[in-house]
Amino acid sequence: VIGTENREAPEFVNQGQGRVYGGELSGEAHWSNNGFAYLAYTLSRSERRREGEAWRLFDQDQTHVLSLAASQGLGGGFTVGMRFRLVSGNPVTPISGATYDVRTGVYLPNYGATNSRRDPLFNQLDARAEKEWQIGRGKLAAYVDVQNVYAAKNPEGYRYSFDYSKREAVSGLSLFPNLGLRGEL
Amino acid sequence: VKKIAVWSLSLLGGWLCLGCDEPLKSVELVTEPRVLAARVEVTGDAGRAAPAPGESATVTFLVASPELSQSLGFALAACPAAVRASARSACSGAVFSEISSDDGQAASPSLSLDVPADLDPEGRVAVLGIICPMARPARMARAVTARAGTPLQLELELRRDGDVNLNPELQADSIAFDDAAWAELPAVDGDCTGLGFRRCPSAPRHSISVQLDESDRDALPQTTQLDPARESLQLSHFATAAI
Repeated sequence: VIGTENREAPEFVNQGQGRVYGGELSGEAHWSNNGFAYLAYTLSRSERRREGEAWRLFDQDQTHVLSLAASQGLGGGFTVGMRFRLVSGNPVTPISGATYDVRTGVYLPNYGATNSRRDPLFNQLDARAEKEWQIGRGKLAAYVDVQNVYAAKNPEGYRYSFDYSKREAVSGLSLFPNLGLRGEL
Repeated sequence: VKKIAVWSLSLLGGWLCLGCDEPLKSVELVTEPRVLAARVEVTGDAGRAAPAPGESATVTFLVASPELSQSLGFALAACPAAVRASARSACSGAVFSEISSDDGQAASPSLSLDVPADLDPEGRVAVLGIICPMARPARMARAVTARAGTPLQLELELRRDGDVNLNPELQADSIAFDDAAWAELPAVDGDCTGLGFRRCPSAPRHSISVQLDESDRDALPQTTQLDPARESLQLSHFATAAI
């Protein structure tokens, strides 16, 4: 479903087209003392178009997704683990300047081709360490979980000046340590 | 084994979001040539801003700049405005007035337009163009997409019965700076002599006040009781060296 030109009635029509294609490779390995690793790579393409127009990237297309997760038991109830992700940046529509509407005093952004640019590669490393105790028939574990270990500044959007001549990236979550307890009965 | 997550605490998250929110660019601070407003004057009736079909008018754009004598080039064109489906203005007919000025040839960007006599009085006129600091605009078709200048748009209403848009005329004594009448402040000398700039003492804070009369705002035709009786008037302040 897409919006009509100039929002003319009925405003939305069932004339949009979408297609998604791709594949995934993954593998995992286990070794002694609760050692475990998982690696996956996904190559895909998600596109949309209006009738008679060329295909363009979908807003949430992630062409490349590489994930690596690993965990290792250290004995004595200690376990450490990590996860690393490398993902294509989100498609974005560039703004190439602005037109000043003198009547309203507002700058109107001049957009380029829809989703013709991309944000930089998303990359993030998470790490976790856990200590587990056996208490009767239950278990209690304390953990420290650190997301975005090296504080990668992955842009999730942009903030523009009033005239669209300057912009700055709005980054996602920075280094985020998390301390917690987990119980099992 | 039945798993039950007992509880989890997040203890150290708050400090991550601390920071200062600096604006990218202050709206009030003019650091480069910028179009701030436009004034429309009907030929032979300068107090009126809405020309009727068949009349002539002049559209003058106010460009503020930190430089005392800013060199400008511009290209402007007027045409019948298309019915707006978005915030964008567009032409619904042929351009009937246009001007293209090389860099520095004109003191202020302005366009004299002759409104066609057969234009629908219920319609609007669109003025489209670009103003280029220290540059010569290309032809209109390319100019409106140029990155060096400021593309602009302005839609004018035409004169209608019972709805005559008049230009506000603020009297000199209606504007005060730090509680002193603007007109009574001493003018600065040196390079700025004759430019109308007023000398003001250095202070961390200043105030500008404007005294308005009811007659400064045009009466509007009211089709329902909810319609405003008078037009709204926007007052904005700008500075080139401070905010």
